[in-house]
Order: sequence, then C-alpha cells, then structure tokens
Amino acid sequence: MNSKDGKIGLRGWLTHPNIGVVARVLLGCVFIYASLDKIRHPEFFAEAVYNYQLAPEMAVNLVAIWLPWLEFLCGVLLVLGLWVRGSILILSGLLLVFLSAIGINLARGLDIHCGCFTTQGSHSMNIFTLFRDLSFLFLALYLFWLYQIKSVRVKFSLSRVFKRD
Amino acid sequence: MSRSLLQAVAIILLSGTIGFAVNGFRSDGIPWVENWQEKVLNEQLTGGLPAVSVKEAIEAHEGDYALFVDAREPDFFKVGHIPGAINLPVKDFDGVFPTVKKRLLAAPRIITYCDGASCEMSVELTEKLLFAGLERVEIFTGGMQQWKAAGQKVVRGP
Repeated sequence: MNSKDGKIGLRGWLTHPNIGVVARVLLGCVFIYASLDKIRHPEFFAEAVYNYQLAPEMAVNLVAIWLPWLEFLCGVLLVLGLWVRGSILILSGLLLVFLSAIGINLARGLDIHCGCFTTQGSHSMNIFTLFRDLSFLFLALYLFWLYQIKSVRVKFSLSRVFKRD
Repeated sequence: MSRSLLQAVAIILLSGTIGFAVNGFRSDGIPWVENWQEKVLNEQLTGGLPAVSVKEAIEAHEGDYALFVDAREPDFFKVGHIPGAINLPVKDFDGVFPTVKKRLLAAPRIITYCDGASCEMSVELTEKLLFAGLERVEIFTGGMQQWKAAGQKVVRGP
C-alpha cells in the first residue's frame, strides 16, 4: 500500500479500506434513495418506464413492480456489506441499461422525465443525467475491482461476520 | 466470479418475490400487465389527468380498493349508479363536498365517473378534488356506458 518513502500512492489510496467502505455505503445509499419514491408510487414509475418507449408494453408494469425492490435490496446489501459482489454486478448491469436508455432517448430528442430518483416532476433528463449515471457506474466498477483483490479487506462489512463475501 | 453470479441470481429472485408480494398486498398495487396505449389515450381525453380503463375500474371495485364518486346530477344518480358510489354533483360541488369530505379523505383511491367519454363532469370534478387537496384521484372515462356494457351491476336509488 505504501511506497518506499512512506507516502501512499494512487493504488494505496484506491485500495484503502476506508475509501472502500465510503464508496460502498455511498453507492448503497444512492440506490436506496432512488428506490423509495418508485416503491411508494408504482403507478407513476410504470408511466415513467412506458414513456421511455423501450420496454414492450406487457413488460412495463412488471419492471415497475420489480425494479425498485431490486435497487432497494442491492442498496441495503451494499450498506450492510453483505453479498457485495453480487449486488455490484447487478447495479453495474442496471446502470449500463439506464445509460443506454437515457442515451437513446436523448438521441431521439424525447423530452421525458427521467424517473431516476423521483417518479413525478417537471425536470426532463439531459446530458447531466447521463454523466451522473456514468459517475455511479465508475463507482460500481471501482468497487467491483476492489472486491476482486483478495488482499483488501473492506471495513464495516457484515460479510466478515458471516464469512461470505 | 461464479459466487458473484450466484449472489446476483439470488438477489434478483428475492427482490422479485418481495416486489410482487408487496404489490399483491398493497391497496394501490398495479396490474402485472396493462394496456398502456389505451391508458395514454384515456389521459389525452382527460387533459393529462390520470385515467382508469373499464378493466381497472372493475378490478378496483371488486377488490374494494377505491371509492367511486359519481359527478352527475342527483336525478341521474338515482336512476342508476355503480354500487357503493357516492354522489358529488360537480354543479353543486361547494354545497355537497363538505358533507362527503371525510369519506373522501379516508379513501385510499378515488375514481370519478359520469356518463361516458363524451361527458366532462368527471374531469371537472377531478380537477376540483385535486384542487381541494385530495390525492390519488383518477377518472373512469368510460363511465356508466362502459360499466353497463361490461355487464356490471348497477343500483338504483339515492
């Protein structure tokens, strides 16, 4: 972790257990927060999914029922530090899907509400929505990389209690 | 990697189970499959206000998930209305609203209706209810015409 002169290098910082725990809890909280309004208003979230005009009509409500709970569960597991690799794998996949959906609709010029954190509102998605999700994807990929390094032990993780990571 | 995949599959199954179970138990759950094109068309008829199809109205009625509110004049209400519906004539809104306000506030979901797609009273009533601060107010645009056409029960009297 430390270089010869005692300073911590970039890899040292990136593999620092405290940085890892902050990144994990941050990404977990983002997805828990993102899921709450969708869970509260499934009908509005279904409309947001339909407005993207990407999912087949028969899949719109199924996505609206299931997706918020997937986000919530992954977020909770990340905060607790349990099944972290599985959660990150799902969230990375979800973020790729979100980025594609936003990118396609920005390219189409559709003026629709993102439905990312709130199901209702007048704020249309824009290029910043794309960059925001991209930053979350980088965070997820960083965590994925971090958890592949066997020597790194991220702190405050229930998986250490249950010996399941 | 294989452990990550196993965890991911378990999370997907668990979240799906929770999601569909919660949706099944909650009063404002949504159907698994819905005719979105019809729904959007309905909302265009109502000027963007939320609308329900006849199928959704029947489901809400059978499950006792919503309070139906008839926007027509009392004379029309007496001739025939949806069972369990209350009458809140849009033309006498200010006079009748205070007498039914408690029931409206207690309802988890409110569905307004009038004669059918050509009648605008349910739209006007919905606007007034939303303005009065009520939430989850939707319009059954098909109204009495679609209700009867679907073979649903109609009751007479006040």
